[in-house]
Amino acid sequence: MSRAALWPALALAVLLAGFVLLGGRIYADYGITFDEESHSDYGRQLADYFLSRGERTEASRNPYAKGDGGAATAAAFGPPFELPVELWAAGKKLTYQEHFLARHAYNLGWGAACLMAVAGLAWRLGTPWTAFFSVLLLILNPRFFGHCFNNIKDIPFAAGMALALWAALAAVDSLHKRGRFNWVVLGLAFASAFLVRMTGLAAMALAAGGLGLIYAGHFLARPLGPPQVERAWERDLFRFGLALALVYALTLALWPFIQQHPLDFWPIMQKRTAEALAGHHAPPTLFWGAKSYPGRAHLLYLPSWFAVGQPPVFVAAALGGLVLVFSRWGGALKRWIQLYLNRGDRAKADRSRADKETALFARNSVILAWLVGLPLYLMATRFHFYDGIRHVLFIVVGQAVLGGLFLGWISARAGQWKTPAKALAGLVLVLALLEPAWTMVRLHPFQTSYFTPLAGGLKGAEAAGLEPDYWGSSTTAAARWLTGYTKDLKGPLLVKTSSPFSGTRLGLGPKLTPVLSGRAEDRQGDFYIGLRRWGMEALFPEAPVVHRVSRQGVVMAVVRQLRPIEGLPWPPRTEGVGP
Amino acid sequence: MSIFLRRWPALAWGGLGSAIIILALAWLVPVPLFQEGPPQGPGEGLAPLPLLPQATVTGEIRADEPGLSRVKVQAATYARRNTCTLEAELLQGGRVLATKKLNCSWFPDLDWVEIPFYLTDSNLDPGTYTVRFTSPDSDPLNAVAVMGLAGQGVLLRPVYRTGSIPLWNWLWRFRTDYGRLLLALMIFLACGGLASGVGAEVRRIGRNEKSR
Repeated sequence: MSRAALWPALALAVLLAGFVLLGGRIYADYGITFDEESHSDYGRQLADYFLSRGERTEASRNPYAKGDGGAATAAAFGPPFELPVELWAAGKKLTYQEHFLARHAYNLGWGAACLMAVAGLAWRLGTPWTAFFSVLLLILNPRFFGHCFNNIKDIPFAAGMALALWAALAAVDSLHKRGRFNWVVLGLAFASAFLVRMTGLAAMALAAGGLGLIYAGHFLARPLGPPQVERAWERDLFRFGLALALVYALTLALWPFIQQHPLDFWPIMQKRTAEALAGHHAPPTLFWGAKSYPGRAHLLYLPSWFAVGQPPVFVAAALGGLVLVFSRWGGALKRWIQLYLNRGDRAKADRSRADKETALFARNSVILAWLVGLPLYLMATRFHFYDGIRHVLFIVVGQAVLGGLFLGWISARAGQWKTPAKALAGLVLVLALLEPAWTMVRLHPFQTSYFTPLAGGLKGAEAAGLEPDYWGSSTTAAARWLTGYTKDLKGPLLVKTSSPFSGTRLGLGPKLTPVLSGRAEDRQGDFYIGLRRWGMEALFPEAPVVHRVSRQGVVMAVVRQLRPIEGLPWPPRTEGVGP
Repeated sequence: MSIFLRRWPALAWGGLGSAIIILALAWLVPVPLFQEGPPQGPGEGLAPLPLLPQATVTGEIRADEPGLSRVKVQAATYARRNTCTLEAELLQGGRVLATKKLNCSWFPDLDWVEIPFYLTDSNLDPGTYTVRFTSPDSDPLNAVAVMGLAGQGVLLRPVYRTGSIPLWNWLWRFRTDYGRLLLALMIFLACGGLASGVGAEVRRIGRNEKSR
């Protein structure tokens, strides 16, 4: 490592270590969201399958495996990413509660892997400082940070995509310099994305496109002279095929139920399209006060989410980085065309320079196709992402790389500035970074509910009709509060609750038994925990509210006391009847 | 010919060799065959039998064929905490042949679940065996049930091991889709390896001709 890279590398290491240490302290604070239990069930059934050496096949009957009915997401998930933690939980015989904590700790590991992949990608595209700034921006993006402790699948996929793109760019660079690429690394990187979601196919298309551009550029540059590196296309094609076969073999080994296997990708896509046309949709989301459905989202749905769901400093830096990449892409194309036009002039025509420009053009094309092409495709197809931007965290990590490129570029130029200008720029950057940092502290553990202060924060988002809570994670916080509130009482006490049931179940102490309100109409409950989302807090309107889970003045969940209980005041020291 | 082949790149040899190794493994690796027997137990009036701390539920299973290797039981959960442990013992003539414990946290709540108890990996002879279920760490708010009739047994299903066949045969017999995949992989590896080798040879000949 060069001397110049030492300080940024050290700073990066400190940042990553700080993230892991902080995460290790706070991961238990986060709640359980709606679909964690169903994912956990499927993961456990998969673990059962392997632990029983293929005998227990409940997983094949799981809705996620069948890919039918209401499980539209089954078409897009490769649940083996759940396997390691489920195998570990089975081996350690963890209890239900310990098991979910283990899952959240496991997701922290994926978050750290994602940050390392982003650092590697940014370092390859820029300088060590680019890597540092990319990781810093990503850690200070509350949506990314919060997801590192919630709802395992979006962060693993983001990590997989960052790894896959890193490997794809390494392949593009290798093809230019050595004439061959490492298919094992490429295949493993593809698998890391593909085994989480089928969207990982996009990484393969991007890599194939980048390598194809290199071949096209070299084919067109033949009049400029002999190539610097021999390219055996049949061997490269075979290598790319081997990378795909490796992905396929790993998928098959870890995802043994072929009914939702990638082989079925096209039938599944046809089914989803048919469902969308027939009017069967995934759960709607609130967007600017209106319900939004797949295929019907507003054209600006995705960019709006990027703008309101992320800190201003992150968005501004990413836009700056986008301009930089566009200029590099255009510059490489322009220089290549100039060299090609001079092919008759032996003094000016230069094959080796043309090959370098081809590689630069190909690598920036891959970045733009990932971070501009995919979002444009999603916008054009009016794609619908329930719960905001969690489904597109694989693009958010790329935006962090763009932001790192921009801040790295600025900091490289700042060396030539006068001291007051440098100090002013540093102060502006620090103040801009303080905003998300301070908001994340105030929102804890609901960083996933972040909305930019430019849109009025959580309050403004709620007024605009955006969803403030994240998949019901506030029920766990409500349950934990209730456990403390009733700690001196004799049990058992019955707690009626809305979904997510597991979120409440995890937070309640042993004296409190949770029962889904819909399944316990005939039983007299003692308390009710209800989510603000979907108006579930309005059940039992006559019962007083004894606690609210809220952030930035916005209520996410309420606790109601349903009847007088010995040892507790009645009427309770109420916080009001309404939410 | 030998000179021709020695100059092939490692990628070509790797492709061809992998295809041969996969084919050999598919023929050499045996896969055991299992067969489930019909469910046994009281036919009428089945009900969940809660496994409270002092409760012991016993059922009998009859192995009509040799090779009994698994026992499945129908369990039920009924809106309790389900963090207790379900313990099962397989006995014959009062002698305990195998024991198994399962953490019930994993059972879906308010649901039926057929639990395969891998009580033994050995192939037991035909005969009648007793299966005893307990849950010593349960309580009224934390318990699961097994399906049966009080005093008359539990719903059980025997699973027999009936032999083994080569993986290749097993795939074409039970999972034709996987069999086709394996065949396609072998063809891809062989063809890719061959193309890489021939391509390298063609380039070498081209270079030699240019140098002349």
